[in-house]
Amino acid sequence: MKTTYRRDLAFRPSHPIRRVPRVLCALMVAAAMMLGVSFMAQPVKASPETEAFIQKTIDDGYEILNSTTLSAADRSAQFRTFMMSLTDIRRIATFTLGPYVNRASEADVNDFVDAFTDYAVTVYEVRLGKYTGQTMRVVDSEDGRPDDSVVNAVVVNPANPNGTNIRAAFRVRNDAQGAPIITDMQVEGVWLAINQRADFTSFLQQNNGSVPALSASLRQQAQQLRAAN
Amino acid sequence: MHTKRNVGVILLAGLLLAGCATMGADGFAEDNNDPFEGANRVVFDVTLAVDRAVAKPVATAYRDVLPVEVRDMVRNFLNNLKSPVIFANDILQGEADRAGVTFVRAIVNTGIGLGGLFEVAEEWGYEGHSEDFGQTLAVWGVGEGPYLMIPLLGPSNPRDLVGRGIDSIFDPLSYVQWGDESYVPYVRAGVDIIDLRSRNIETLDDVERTSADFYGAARSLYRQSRENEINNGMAEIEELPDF
Repeated sequence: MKTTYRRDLAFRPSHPIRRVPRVLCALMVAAAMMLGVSFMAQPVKASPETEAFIQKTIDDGYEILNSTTLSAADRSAQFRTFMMSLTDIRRIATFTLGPYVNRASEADVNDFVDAFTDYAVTVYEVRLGKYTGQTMRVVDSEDGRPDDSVVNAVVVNPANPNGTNIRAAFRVRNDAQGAPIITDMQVEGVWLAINQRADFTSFLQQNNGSVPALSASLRQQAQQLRAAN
Repeated sequence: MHTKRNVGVILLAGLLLAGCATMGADGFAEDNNDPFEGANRVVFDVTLAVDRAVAKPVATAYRDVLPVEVRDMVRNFLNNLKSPVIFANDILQGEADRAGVTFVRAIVNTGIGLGGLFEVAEEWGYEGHSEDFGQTLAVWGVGEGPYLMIPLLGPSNPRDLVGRGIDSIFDPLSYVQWGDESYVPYVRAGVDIIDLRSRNIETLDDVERTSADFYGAARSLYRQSRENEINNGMAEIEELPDF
C-alpha cells in the first residue's frame, strides 16, 4: 500500500563489467537514455517556502491541539481561528456543492458556507485531535500547474518511530492576494474535499437538490461530534 | 473444480458488465460513475446490515480478546501469504524494483520472520506494498467500468472483479481449495476479513458519523483509494480538480 518507489525509476544498470560486448553496450546506452528520460520526467518539487509553510502550519496546529494550558473551549476557538487563517473556506465549500452551487439561491449558498465552516472545523479538530502526542513531518512535495502544489507528510508516532506511518498531503494554492492557502488535505490517498463533494452531491441528489437540507444535516453532525468529544 | 467455475463466472460477469456500462443522462451518474446506483444502494444497505449484525461485533470481540501482538502476527502472516500475488502483478506491471522488494520481503519474512509471523523486512528497509490484477489491468489501460456494490464483498467494479478472479490463479492457496473439501482458503478469507474490519472500526464509524450520505462517501473513498493504489501512492496533481 505504502511506497516510495516510482515506476519510472524501475530500470537501472547494475554491475560494472570490464569488457563490454557491443550488444550490452547498446543496452547500457539505452538504459542510460531511459534513465535520462526518467530523470527529466521527475516531478518538479514545490518551493522550499511552500514546504516550510506546511511544516509551520502543522507545528502551529499541533501546538494548539496538544496544549495542556488551554481549556477545551479556548482550544476549539483558537483552532477555528487558526484554520480560518489557512484556508479560503468559501472556495472549498462551494466546490463541495458541485453543480448544485449554480442552482441554489445566494442566501442558501451563504448559509451553507456557514454550516460547512462549522462542520469542517469540528471534523478537522476531532480527527487531528486523535493524533495528539504525535507529530507530522513534511517529506517531499510536487508542483503542478502554476499556483498548485502538493506537499507530502507523514504522521510520526514518537512512541513507535519504526511503526507504519500514516501518509498525509496538503494541497497548497494562492489566495487572491497571492498568499499560500491550503485547499485540501489527503489522508492515506483520500482527498477530503473531493470526498466531501462526492458525499454532499450524493446527498443532494437524494434530497431534491435541497441545499438548506444539507446545511441542516451538517449542523446536526457538527453538534453531535462536539457532544461526543 | 468449483473455484475454476467461480472464476469463470466472475470473469464473464465482469466483462459483461464492463460491456454494458452506460452513464446516466443527468450527468450525476457520470460524475460518480454509478449508473446502477439504485441496485447498488440496496446491496449497500444489506451489506451494512450484515456488517452491523455479524462482522463488526465479531471484529470487536476479536480485537478485545486478542492482544495487539498476536493480531499483528495474524496480519503479518496474512500479508505474507499474499506475496505470490503481489510478486506476479509487480512483474506484469513491469515493476522490476518492486518485484525485487516483494521477493526479498517474502524470503526474509518467511525465513527469519518465522513463516511470516514477524515483519522483519520492513525494519530492514523493504517496505511492503499492495498489488493485484485489478491494478495491473488499470496500468495496462483498462477502464474501471461502472461502480458496483457486490453483496457481502463491498465496493468494486468490473475491472477489479475480473482482477479478483485472476489473482486467485496466482495464489497457491487457491489450488489447495481445488482439492477435496479443503477449508483452508475459507478460513484464511474469514480471518482476513475480521482482522481487516477490526483495524477499521473507528475509521468507518467516523466516516459514517461525518457523512451526509454514507453511501456516496463510501463510494468516493473506494474510488479514490483504488486510484491511489494504482498510482503507487503518488499524487497525480494534474488530475486534481481545479478549485
